[in-house]
Amino acid sequence: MWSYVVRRVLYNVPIFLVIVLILMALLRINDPVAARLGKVASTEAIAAERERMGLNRPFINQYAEFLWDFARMDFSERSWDQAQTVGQVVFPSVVPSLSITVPALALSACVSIVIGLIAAANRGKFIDRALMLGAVLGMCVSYLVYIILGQKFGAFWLSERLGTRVFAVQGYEDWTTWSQPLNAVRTWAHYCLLPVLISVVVTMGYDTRFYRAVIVEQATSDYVRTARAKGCGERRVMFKHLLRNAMIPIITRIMITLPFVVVGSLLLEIFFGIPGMGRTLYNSIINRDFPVTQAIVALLAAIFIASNILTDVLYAVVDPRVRLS
Amino acid sequence: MSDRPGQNAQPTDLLTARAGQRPSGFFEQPGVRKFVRNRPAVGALTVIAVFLLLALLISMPGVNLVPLERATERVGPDVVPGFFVRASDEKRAAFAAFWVRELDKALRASDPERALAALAFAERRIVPLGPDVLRDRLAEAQAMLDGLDEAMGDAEDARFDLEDLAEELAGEDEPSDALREHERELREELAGMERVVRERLVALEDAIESLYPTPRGREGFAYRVRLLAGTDGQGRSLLLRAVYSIKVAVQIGVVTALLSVFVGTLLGAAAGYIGGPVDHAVVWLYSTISSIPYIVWLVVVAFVVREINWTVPILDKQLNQTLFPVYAAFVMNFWVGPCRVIRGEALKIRGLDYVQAATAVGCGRWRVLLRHVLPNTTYLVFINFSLLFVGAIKGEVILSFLGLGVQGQPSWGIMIRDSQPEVVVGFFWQLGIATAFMFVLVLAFNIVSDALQDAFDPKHVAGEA
Repeated sequence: MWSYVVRRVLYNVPIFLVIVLILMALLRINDPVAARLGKVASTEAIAAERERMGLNRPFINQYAEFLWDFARMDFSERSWDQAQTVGQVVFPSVVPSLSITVPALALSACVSIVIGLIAAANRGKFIDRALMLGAVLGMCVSYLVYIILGQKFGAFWLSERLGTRVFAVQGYEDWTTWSQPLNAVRTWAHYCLLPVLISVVVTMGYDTRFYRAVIVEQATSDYVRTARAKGCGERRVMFKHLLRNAMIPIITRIMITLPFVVVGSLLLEIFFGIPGMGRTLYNSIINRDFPVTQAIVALLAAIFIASNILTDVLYAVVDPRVRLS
Repeated sequence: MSDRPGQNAQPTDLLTARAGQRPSGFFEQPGVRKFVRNRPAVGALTVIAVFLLLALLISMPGVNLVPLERATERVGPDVVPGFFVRASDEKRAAFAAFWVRELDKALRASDPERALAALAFAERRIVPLGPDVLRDRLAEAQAMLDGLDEAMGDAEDARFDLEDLAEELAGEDEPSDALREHERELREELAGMERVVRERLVALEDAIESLYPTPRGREGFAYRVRLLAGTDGQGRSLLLRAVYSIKVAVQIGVVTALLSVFVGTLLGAAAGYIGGPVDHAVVWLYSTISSIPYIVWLVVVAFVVREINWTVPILDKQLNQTLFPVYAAFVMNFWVGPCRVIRGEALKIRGLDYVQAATAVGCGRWRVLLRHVLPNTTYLVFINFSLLFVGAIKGEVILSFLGLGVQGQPSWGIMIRDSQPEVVVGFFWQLGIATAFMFVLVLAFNIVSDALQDAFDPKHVAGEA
């Protein structure tokens, strides 16, 4: 297995290198120095700024240096926009991001799998059709509409109704104080639960359709018929035989969406003012703070590649038929 | 859905094929027949056709169904509700105040005659009277407005008093008769005040009607159409904006979906059929793109392309005033989907008998690719086209929210973005109309792509992308 992992890592190294190359080249198409200093800047000022930002060196040097720093996990390059190092900008944004994405991912997977099971078990009946119609209709509305309506009804309308503020309209507060667990959960819920719920609602349409399809495909296969023929109860067939076999596509789905979810909540983070990775990334692009952009994108790519390899290893753990070679 | 055994008396296509009558025409193909039998899909296709036609009519220079100026001009007060729903008294007072203010502004201008001549909101114009007459009428209307404000203030105060009293009453177990009597009196007083407010409001609205007579006949109809869905925060017609946005959405959808499907199909088919180093290169290329969340590329590419200082030759516009940044961002992401699927299909087809037969007969590589491999991936091309069309429409909303989307013209994304502060104060018309238009088009495409998958891919279960 280890030789497999090593081989996959080696195979993915060029992919990673090209991602960073494309990104760095894209970001340098327009001169970031001129854009930062404005039109009235003198030539000397531009040259000085260029030197300060390290853009006067050849592109290949910048590329190699970034890779070298990244390989050593050295994030001490200075941000162009703030008086901080890249690490100081990026790392504090990890916890806020995770406090939305992890619960959202877990919750939406659970809810969607349950709904997918219900729909698949009643395949062709009214419940199934109603659920799938709901999923299709839900998919036809923009993410932004859910966010706007979620904020209106979850934060404004609900507070007006109950007289107290249940969910914050926007903002974030560090909730990771382990001395008072109850307080921590309450703070988390105040700022993060509403975005989590919105995210669950949005992804539910896609996920339930997918999980239903997976389960239906399994339900029509031979081993299920055999299990029924030998007299297994419906519940045993569903959970013991079916769900276990459906685990592979389900794990794939969750693992593949994992890195996307990190930034997938970009809209939520910007809208609700949560200082997570998505918002940091967006701000760094808009403010032309390219060291930060490069660091976040390189991290994401590394996480994605790692999670892909991990998925394959997980297959082998879940399904004894899969051999990694 | 309706292929119960015994119901179709016609022989199945396999049988006709064996009898020597190969399904020849487009409509005789089994997949096409199955698709045409699917009623919702045909309905959805019609809806798409209507949207495309509207987009064409809007963008054709000769017809110009909804010119851009129509979608960006002021037609009345801000945030008027749609479908002529009666607004609250406060809002009606605000609408009246708007008309009065506009007249005031015109009369204060350095050249009142000219300002009055220009004082028109689409078809609704000021009465053609001299500035002196209008000055008197304005003074009257302003007095009425002041009176209305005063009455509304009084009613508001009375309402607060009543609320306080109700609290007091609720606090006591046995409220005294005097207190009850007082409450009854206050209630009557409030009712009287509200009557005054209503009367003054109606009188003011009549005065405004005589100042700005509602157009009649054809013009009146046109004006009512403009106000059908209400107005946005800058008094622009929501209906016309939403209809104009059809053009923008179709433009973005068609261009990005066509380009992405073209690039994806070409690379995918080449990779799958030719194999070897070409395959490796293509797989490697799309792996790099898909290793980064879609939205990151979207934001980076849209931002970078917008910043390029280049005037587009034919349109004679700066690059950031066109839709090119949006196209670039979408195509960069979207070609991966069709490429991956069609590569898989081409790999499968490569091993099939008829391809080997074609090779054996002496067909060249390109001939096999173009005549035998690509035609058999057509249904995938169509499915991917409609999936990407939906992706582009939805992505446009996200880009517009981030300020990287459409510039200088309305779009559903811009409408949804602009609706956010309105929704907070309870005005849902802008959000509703933009979402409704988008919903219909996206739903139609979703139904069509599902039906295509059902019709052409026998193993497919709805929902598996």
